[in-house]
Amino acid sequence: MAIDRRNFLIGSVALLGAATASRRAFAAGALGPSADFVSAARLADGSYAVLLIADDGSLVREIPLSTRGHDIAIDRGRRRAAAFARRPGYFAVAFDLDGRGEPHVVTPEDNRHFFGHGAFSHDGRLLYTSENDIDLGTGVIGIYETSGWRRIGEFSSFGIGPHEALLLADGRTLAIANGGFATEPSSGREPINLSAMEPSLCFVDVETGELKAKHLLPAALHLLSIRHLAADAAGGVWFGGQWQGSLEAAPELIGMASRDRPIKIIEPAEPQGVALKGYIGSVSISADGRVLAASAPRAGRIIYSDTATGKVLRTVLLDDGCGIAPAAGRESEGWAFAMTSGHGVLHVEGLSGAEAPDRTFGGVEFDNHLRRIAPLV
Amino acid sequence: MVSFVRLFALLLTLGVALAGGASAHEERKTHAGMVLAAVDNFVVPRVERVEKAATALANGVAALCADPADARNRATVVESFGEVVRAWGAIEFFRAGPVTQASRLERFHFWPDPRGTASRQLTEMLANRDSAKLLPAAFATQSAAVQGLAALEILLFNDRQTIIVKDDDAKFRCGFAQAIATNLVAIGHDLSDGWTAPDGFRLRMLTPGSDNPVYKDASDTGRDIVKAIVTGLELTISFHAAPEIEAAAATPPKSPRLPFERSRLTSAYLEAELTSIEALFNATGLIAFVPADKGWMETFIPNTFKEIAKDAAALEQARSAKPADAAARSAAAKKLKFDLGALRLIIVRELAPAAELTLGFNELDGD
Repeated sequence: MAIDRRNFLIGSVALLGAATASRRAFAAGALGPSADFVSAARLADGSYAVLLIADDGSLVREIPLSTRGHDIAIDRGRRRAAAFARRPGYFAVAFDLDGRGEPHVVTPEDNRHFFGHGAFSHDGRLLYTSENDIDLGTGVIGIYETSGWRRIGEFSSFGIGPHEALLLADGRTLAIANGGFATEPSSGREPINLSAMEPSLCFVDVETGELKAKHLLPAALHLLSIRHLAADAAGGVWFGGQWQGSLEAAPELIGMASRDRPIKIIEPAEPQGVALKGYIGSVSISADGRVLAASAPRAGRIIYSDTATGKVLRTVLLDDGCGIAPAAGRESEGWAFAMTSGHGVLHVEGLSGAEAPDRTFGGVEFDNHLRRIAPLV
Repeated sequence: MVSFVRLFALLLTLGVALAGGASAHEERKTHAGMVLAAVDNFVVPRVERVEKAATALANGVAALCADPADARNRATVVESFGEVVRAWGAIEFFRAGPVTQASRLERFHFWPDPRGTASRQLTEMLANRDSAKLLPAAFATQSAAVQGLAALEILLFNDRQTIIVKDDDAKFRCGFAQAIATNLVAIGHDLSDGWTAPDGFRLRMLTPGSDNPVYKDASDTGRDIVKAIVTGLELTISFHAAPEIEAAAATPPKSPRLPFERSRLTSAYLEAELTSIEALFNATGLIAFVPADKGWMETFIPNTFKEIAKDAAALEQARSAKPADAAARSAAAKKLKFDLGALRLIIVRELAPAAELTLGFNELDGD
């Protein structure tokens, strides 16, 4: 473990040198345009990077990573972000969104690894990360202070295999998607004991580490791994699940809960679980909070659902489409989603159709998550 | 290792000739042809082999429990157990259809098991000696960890608590072994029947269409076949190479946890997996889709399969060394990982797209 971990770190530091040089070269011509979206990606030469992209689809900056990334947490107040290595991940790279200052490598402590997600506190002083206690196989949330990027503590995720963690509008409650099954670095990404899965959506007070609510799925759905989250304006937390059982038996994959309300699985008029291949890769809420987008890369579809009724409003077809983030929409609708694919496509679509011609990044494979940097007004 | 893979990816991108010249293309199969060959020539014979091997093992365990003093019974069980392990290794990476139902994958072989769950739960059940739980219907509802090969291996290959002594404890252990073996037959039958029954998964894969809930067309099905090859390559890394590399990197080096170590079948299991991955690759005829400007792959791919077999043998040799040499084991495991990774890269980034069976970055390996 130690040597592999060290290799990852050495790799990251070496690549940070390249990132810094690239940033300086860029900065020499002034700061230039600011980025609106950010995503991890694999590049044509097989290397990995974080790509910062402007609303018009132009590439603003790229930050090399030593291995495959996953999600990126945004600290909007301080214009910073942290890109996480995907599970089992041993580093995150924190960087300034406008290219000012040096990037920093953030590492978990021994016997912990990242699961690829995290969230900044609203004041930007802390970073919360979903992690694995490797020896015990239980989930924890690591706490890092962001002035020196030191790990200062942790609390339980109250489940196994925590994945996305989302800090809610109150700035105190962390919604945690506990996937429900363990993995262990010595056996790669292979799940351990799916038959005993117990996924949960937990609400935890970040100031005390106290569990405020833990919502489980019914026994018949215990193979539905809760993985990705998005919060709506009314305090509801929506999730996209990944079915670990037989595809033919895949149930509906999208649900919601809040601290005070148990999980409700959304049942559209036409069953979607099998058609979506039992797998949701990411979820996002529209700028007005009324529409949930859920990507199903194995089915090449992104589903738009009404958050009030659960009704499917639109199905977007995008091969290997996975990353989704709110985008500016036409005036009549007021919202749209930007989405990225493993084939390097950036597509923006509202309720009535595409908002702009697709932009294709040659040789680029976008990873699971796309994040909007600045909120839409 | 990361940099090796990246270098290899770059060479692929540039189309650099790595070895040999192109030979004549094999005939390119249609997607439906690939699926038919994979299902009928690869999957079905292998699931039937699992059921047959499990049946022989169950008969052997029953004979051993009836007459534990007969050394031939013990030898038969050891041999039968090995055949089940090899049969399982030859198909377990094909993770579509019946094996994904009713937790059959974990119930047949509970692995990975980093915290020794099978051993712990088996010990608890042996201490409680509740015979009712060994009845087939009840046994199939126990923890997956005690239902399959991992627990049976502990019972059969245990020098301290043998099942061939005629005391009550040993009789219960033998009864437990019989319950597992009977359970393996039932799972094996469910797998085989799940594929070959008139409405089984074989038909589902061979008849995609709008009325098929899982597969809409043959390319949909074909992608699952290619995905199985890729899963096999990844699983081999996860089960055999990664544990060695992780263990050797610890300070001081640890002993890796490997499948079927107790029965000394780790290498036989690995060999069964590798041989079978190559057989599935050949069944699909994917090599016919080597791009015209990368003819070197036509010799590189079979050579890499041969190299991987050599890697496995070298890893076995390193594992057998006395005194233990963690660095040598790790080096051998890294070589195996590299060659498996190279093959994966060629299949995912070159052959599958050329065969119009592209496996997307997120689709194949999302999170």
